Amino acid sequence: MSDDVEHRFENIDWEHVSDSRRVVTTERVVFVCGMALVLALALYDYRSDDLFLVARWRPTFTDWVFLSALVVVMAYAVVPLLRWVRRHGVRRSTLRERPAVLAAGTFLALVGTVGLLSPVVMSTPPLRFEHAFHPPVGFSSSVVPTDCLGRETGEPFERVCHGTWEYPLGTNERGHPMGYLLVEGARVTLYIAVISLAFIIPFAGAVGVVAGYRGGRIDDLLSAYIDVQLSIPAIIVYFVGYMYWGPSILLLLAAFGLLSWGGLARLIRSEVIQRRSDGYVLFARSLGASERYVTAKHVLPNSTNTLVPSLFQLLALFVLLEAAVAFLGFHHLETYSWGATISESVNAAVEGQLHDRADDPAYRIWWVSTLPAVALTATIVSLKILGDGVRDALDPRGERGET
Amino acid sequence: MTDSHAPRRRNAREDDSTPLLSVTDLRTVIRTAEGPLHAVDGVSFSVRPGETVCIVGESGSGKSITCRSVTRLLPSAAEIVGGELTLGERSLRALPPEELESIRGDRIAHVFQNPQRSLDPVYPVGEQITETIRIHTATPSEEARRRALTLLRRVGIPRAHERIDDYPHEFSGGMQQRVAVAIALAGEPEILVADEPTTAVDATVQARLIELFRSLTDEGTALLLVTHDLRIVSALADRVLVMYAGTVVERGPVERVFDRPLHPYTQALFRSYDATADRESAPPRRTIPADGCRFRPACPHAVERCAGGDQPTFQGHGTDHEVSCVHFEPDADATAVLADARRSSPGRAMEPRRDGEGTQDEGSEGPEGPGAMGEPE
Repeated sequence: MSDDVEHRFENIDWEHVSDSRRVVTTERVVFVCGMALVLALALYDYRSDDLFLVARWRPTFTDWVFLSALVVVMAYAVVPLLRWVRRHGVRRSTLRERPAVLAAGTFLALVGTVGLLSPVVMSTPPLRFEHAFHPPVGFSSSVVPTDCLGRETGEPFERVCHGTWEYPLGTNERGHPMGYLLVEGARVTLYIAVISLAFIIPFAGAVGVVAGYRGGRIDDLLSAYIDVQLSIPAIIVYFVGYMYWGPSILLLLAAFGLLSWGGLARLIRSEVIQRRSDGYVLFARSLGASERYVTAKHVLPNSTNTLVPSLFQLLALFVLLEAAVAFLGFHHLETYSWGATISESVNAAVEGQLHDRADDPAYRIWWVSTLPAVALTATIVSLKILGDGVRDALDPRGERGET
Repeated sequence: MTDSHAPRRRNAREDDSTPLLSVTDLRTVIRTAEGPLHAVDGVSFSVRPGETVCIVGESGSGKSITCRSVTRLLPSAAEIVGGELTLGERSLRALPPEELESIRGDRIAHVFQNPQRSLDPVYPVGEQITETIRIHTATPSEEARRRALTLLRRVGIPRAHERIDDYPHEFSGGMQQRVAVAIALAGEPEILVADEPTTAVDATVQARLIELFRSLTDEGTALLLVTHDLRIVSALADRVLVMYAGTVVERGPVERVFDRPLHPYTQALFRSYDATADRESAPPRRTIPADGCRFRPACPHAVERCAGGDQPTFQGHGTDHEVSCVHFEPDADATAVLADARRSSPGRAMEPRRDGEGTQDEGSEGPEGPGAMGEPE
């Protein structure tokens, strides 16, 4: 045996840490430790009188839900993915061949990191109406803030305010820096993606697999249930909940998330039914594998071609739905979702204290809508591109086709 | 003739009377929209350790369903409705699924027709072999991998240590089938059920697979082989079962059946391998009668007695050679059928494809296969 082979033995050992026979797996360790940590922090936060948990962060219930969701995603998505990367390696050339996937991944990683750290490192800036509508650096605007911190030019009645490094991306009508709003929006997006990945996608997986795997009456029942569920308009359910409990991300996820996984469940069901008739399933069964084992080890991994892009698509849909609801204004007022920020310039131009600017078309304060719109679009496009990239990476047959 | 086939049974152990696998009066139905189809209708046979039993017959005769019934590996529409399946001392018929799973792969393994579809495209082949090992025993991964390498070498994969981490699509069809055999052998089964393992591969690969199967049976593994290639039968089989429409019509040692096919269906089947085949393609299964002798509508020797009731009782005709045909019943006259036997014998037609294998399998036994050399008569 050469050293090379010896080295590979280690790989195999590691990969079988997840062997279903074992009680202690990396996934379970991460899950249990993470949950314990979140629980301990929550208890500490509940018991202590201190206002802030870490730095200037005051966690809310939503934050705790998010942290638990993060633990679930870490344990059952990130750990297996890292193991996969470790086993198969990601070839540099593959990355170079797919710059779009690389860019999408980097962008989403950035959104994730920023969203994760924002509550700890940033605090809500004060309202400064006198600083409203600073343009971004390098641009100028004729909608002049009361106190223009940048260079001012123009006639006394046709003043033009230029961007200042105080607010590199400009400000909105409350004088909040756009950078802050974008970061807050990233946080909302991260929450939406992680919570739905951890707590909503598993519904689709469980129902789809059970329906496809059991068949018969159980399949009929579950499929009928999915049909009923898909015919309930989620937005009405959200508004009903809104009337009772007011707006929150969790209500949004409950209404839209819990009513929208039916399509993915159907897809998983049909994949499971198709893959089950594949030769390798029969072969594995003939060698003593149980149905459950075959489903986990052969049926689902062979369905990634279809499932992974749809899963990313569903995440993108949730992010978009949240933005849409926030754009309409049915969101928590202190959650500065991208959708809410996009609506600000439109609303600002027609109502409220800025009534004197009601005649100003929204394009004159374009940055307020454009920046979050670009971020939202980039996130959704990135989710879709990354979905395709992950699918191609997971398919060993794909390697041959790409040169 | 009686002793002439003794060398073929070289691998059968001393205790010939205790078969490894015995199937008695197996009945499997498939539920279809037009009512139940009796896919397997009273099949009995047994396989001894180290023995090769071949099931021949045309498509739809129930060969594959018979094989898959053995470990109850049936499609959901199919169900075993009667008969007994015994492996060693254990009955498989009423075994709970978990125990059946512990037998599959460990004592009985299967190989299927299409290797491209047998291997899971998303795992390297080595992992698929270790998977089988690890389903059944808690083997350390290092040990499992070593065994996977040994198995790959065993089935003749060149540069096995380099190829063990390759994916199925990186192998040729013939290699894939050998990998599939390696996977099936990983649990060191006592009996290998191979369902047309050579159909989807080319002739050279067939010869290699035949060699591989032969070396397996030499080591005591029993082989239940389904094929419709008489060359494979003549190269490998100890005994032959001829199936038609879910029933066994004739069974016996390969050289006796080949030398003197008794059942009119066997004769027709063998003749169909001739270039001047006069037999038409198989009638749809639904049109075949489900009682008496199933072959009677197409049989040149059909008489009134062929219809009704169970299939004709098996009549011995020399050692171990039995046929289910009314003409061989004690009070009947089989002369007409026997007259066809000679000219239907595929013995001479079954010339070997390569390196002489097969010639020795036609009745005049010479030394054969590795391992048979030193075997005393």
